Amino acid sequence: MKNDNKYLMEQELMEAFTYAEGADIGMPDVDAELLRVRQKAAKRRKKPSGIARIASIAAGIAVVFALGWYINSGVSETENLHADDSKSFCVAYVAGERMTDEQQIMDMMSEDIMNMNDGCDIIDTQLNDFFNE
Amino acid sequence: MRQFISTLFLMLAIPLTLLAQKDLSTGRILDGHYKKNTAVTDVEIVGDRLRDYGLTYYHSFTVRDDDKLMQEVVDAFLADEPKAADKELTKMGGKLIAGMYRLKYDGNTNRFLFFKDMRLANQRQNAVMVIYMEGNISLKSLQRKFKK
Repeated sequence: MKNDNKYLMEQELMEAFTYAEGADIGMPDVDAELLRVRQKAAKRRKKPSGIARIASIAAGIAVVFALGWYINSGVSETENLHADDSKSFCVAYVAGERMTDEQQIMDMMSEDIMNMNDGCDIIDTQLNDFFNE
Repeated sequence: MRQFISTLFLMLAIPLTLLAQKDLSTGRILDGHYKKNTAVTDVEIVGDRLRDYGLTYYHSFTVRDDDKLMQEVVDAFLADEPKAADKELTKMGGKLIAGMYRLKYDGNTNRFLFFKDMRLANQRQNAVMVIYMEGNISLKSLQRKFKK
């Protein structure tokens, strides 16, 4: 970019000198020419092309959509977990498979508790059959 | 808006309950990285579904037919023993069959950790189970509720 600008400046200066020679008006004021060239170069500084601009807008929209989709998909998943109650959820994984059926999960909890209670009878029960007093 | 609020609530609620388990060795087992393991049954319930039991959080973890992971569960449970405010352990031949800890916690919330080795507890299952619970409930009340 620096080189481009330098090149542009040189081009402009050459043009200016050539013009001065042709017009026979003597050497131009170099500082003034330099300033003019700089101003011109600044104007010529490349703005993003139309395609680049469209691409960046499209990328922005895509990011917004992706974020929206992500949030929404997460919400709909959790909504399935607690259809009528936003303050709770239940989820189970059985052999790596995700389960979201609330009733089934509550049944699994009951089964867990039962398993925790049962089967301790053979052991001398000091055995704190935890849930059985 | 309702979706956003519910998402926000879940985002806040889940880390809090996970945080409560984090100080436990068993928390490493329950932190979710075994969920996809085919030997594992993992049940997690948060909130109002547990109101009848006086609980706010329930998490059970059962491992079947994976000796290495079963031993990990046993070791983690035993490692949590010093953190228990109350405990009941049942051993046979030096091996832990079942156990219960009431864990120290701030405020009125009680935390409970239950363990059972079903290989040794006459259940003829090659499995161990650990259950973590939280709630504003005493152990006695919990026992009564689960006995129903």
